[in-house]
Amino acid sequence: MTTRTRFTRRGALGLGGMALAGAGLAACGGNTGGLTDPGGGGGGLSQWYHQYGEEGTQDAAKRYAADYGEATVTVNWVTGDYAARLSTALLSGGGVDVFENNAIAVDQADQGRYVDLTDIMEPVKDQFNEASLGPVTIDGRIWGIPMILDPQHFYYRRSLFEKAGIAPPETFDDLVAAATELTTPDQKGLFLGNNFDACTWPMVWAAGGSPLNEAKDAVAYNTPGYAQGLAAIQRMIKDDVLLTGAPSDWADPAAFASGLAAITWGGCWALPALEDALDDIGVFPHPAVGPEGRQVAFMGGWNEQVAGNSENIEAAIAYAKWLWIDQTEHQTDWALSYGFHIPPITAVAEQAEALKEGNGLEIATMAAEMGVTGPPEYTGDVGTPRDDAISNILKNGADPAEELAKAEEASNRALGA
Amino acid sequence: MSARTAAPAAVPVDRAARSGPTRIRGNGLAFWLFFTPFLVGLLVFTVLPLIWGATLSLFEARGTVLPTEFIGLDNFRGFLVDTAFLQSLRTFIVFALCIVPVTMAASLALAVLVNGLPRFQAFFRSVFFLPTACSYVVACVVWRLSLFNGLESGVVNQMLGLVGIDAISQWLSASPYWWIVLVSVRLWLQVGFYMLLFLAGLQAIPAQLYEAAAVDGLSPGGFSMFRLITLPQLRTTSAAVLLLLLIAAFQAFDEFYNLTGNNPETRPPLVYLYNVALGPQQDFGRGSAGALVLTAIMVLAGLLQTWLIGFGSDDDTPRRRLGRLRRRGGRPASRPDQGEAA
Repeated sequence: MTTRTRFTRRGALGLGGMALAGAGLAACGGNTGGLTDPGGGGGGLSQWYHQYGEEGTQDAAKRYAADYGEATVTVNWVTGDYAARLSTALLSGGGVDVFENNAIAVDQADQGRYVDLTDIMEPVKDQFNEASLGPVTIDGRIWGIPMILDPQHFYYRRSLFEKAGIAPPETFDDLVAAATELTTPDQKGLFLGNNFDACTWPMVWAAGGSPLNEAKDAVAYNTPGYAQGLAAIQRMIKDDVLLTGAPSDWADPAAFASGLAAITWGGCWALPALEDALDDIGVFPHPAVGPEGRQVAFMGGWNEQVAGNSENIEAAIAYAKWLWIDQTEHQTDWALSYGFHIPPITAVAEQAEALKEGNGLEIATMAAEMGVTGPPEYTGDVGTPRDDAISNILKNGADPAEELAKAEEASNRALGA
Repeated sequence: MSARTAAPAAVPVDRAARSGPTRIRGNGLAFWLFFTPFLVGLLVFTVLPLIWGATLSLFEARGTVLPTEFIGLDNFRGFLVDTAFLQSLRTFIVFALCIVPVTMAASLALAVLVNGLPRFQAFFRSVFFLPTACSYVVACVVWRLSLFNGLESGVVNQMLGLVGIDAISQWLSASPYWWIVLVSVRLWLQVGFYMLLFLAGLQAIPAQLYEAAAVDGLSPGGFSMFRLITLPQLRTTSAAVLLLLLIAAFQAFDEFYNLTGNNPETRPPLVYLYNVALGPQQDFGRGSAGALVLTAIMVLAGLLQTWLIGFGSDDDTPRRRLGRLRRRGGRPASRPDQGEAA
């Protein structure tokens, strides 16, 4: 007579309960959202990147990490809302040691989210493009190492301009006239993003203002020119000159490359893809807006930082210094092999062939002569009223002057002015 | 006719008569084995954050989840004068006024249609329920890129073209078009779930009621039968669906976040609070206070609804309250027997 283990219903439910409990406990462990190993501890480092659109960038980032001999570096390629995820990781601790950031803010520096990198940057800061240091410097302390510079500007179709006898616009009125002239049933004149607001941040400078005044104790974006420029966008929306509802937004060159608009706001990263798709691409800076205005190119960019709550701060600083200061081969590769970016170290940029001719040279020139950057003191609290005002003006038809006045008051309140 | 007479005769009288939970001896370990993970989960992920959030709401907590300075009710006072928050409540009201009646009508209509099918009822029930399993984010991508993109090649624009209407490019950048997109995506995702609730309610209506109504002269399957028998019998289900829909509308986040971004006109309360607490402002004290304010509003709305139209109550007290409110408003009161079975 054999004895058989009976698999009863009670036993099965018990096992199921244990499995559920185990799964629940397993879910409690780690806080990396299932992205990578946390990296902290054991000498390993976790490096965060946002998801770049250019093909090959993720493999390149992993290759650089593998080339570093002093520590094991795990690359965490973060998809989705990078800013929110990074902010949560920096707040809660763990999961990130080295990271890239395009929005260094004074409040987060005060809260200890970042490590002060002045000691490693001070001896070499003269080697960097001056514009690249603005967004990483707060009261003389340097909180990040510039990785790439991404000028933003307008792209246009040279052939369409030549056919219509139009010169690249130098004032916003010229731009409106050109966009209106080039609008046809099959093609809109201008693409300012699906929400019409892609160029409204650089327009602050183009209209003669700036995010903050010189004393940095009040905002200075509310200028008559800014209200005029926003009103001009309102008119273009009404006249059906602007492209909207495109499958991809302005940062992706697809809409412009497929001929949906004659002019678009864009970033320099899109240049290789656009030149591959079209043979008549030209670039021009943001035109001057109003009588006090000037032509500008907005200098976006990414900066490498070390997390304030990293368990391996020294190792993280050493890795960041190696990757973005000491060796230059990977810097050139990162800036120019996949998309098109300007290396912030002047000597590296000067050696880049892509910046010596054609549109690359024009972008590099406008970046050097007309580049503007946002200050770290312009924090989220300060910026939210302006963002809301822009939405209200462009999407809800509000009066530009009134909305900007209200936003200015709210921003100054947030700034403590 | 009643459920009592339909009870199986084989059930022993003592067991049928016993009330309260069944106790099984010697199962204490099994009870704790099953119960503990959920208790721990409830404490760690719900009760503790609630207490933590309530505490933070009384403190300054910027860029930190730890309380820094006690400021009493300042965070709450801020919401009373915060025009952006009040605007987000208006956005919720507009959204709820669109999505709640549309979902109720569509889910009830689907339930009636499916319930009346002589064959393939299970198939259609599954088909209509399937979208509930789809992620809001995925649905939003499909809505934005395929159905409602602003190009002439967009699916909806193509359909408009077939009936001679010009393509609309501003589906997501102008009112009222964005409401069509926002309401339709949520309707598609949730209508199957509420259809199932109505279906369960329909199948619980005794057939004898319809037979008696037919004997009294109502035509079987006609609108009068629906109005006088089906709708009154679904009162409890309708109240539950209404409450669930209101709560779901109040909690709307994904479609607004993914489709319309940060426009103040299309920013419901949860998106606004997300920006306050987890966006660039990182103000956890104010965010927690806002979450408590929202919870209070939802609880009050739920209690008001229960008081007015009832939820699971068998008596007519809520209906009488409604009648009294109508009379005070100067409108004629409904007949007490209106809506009852003939």
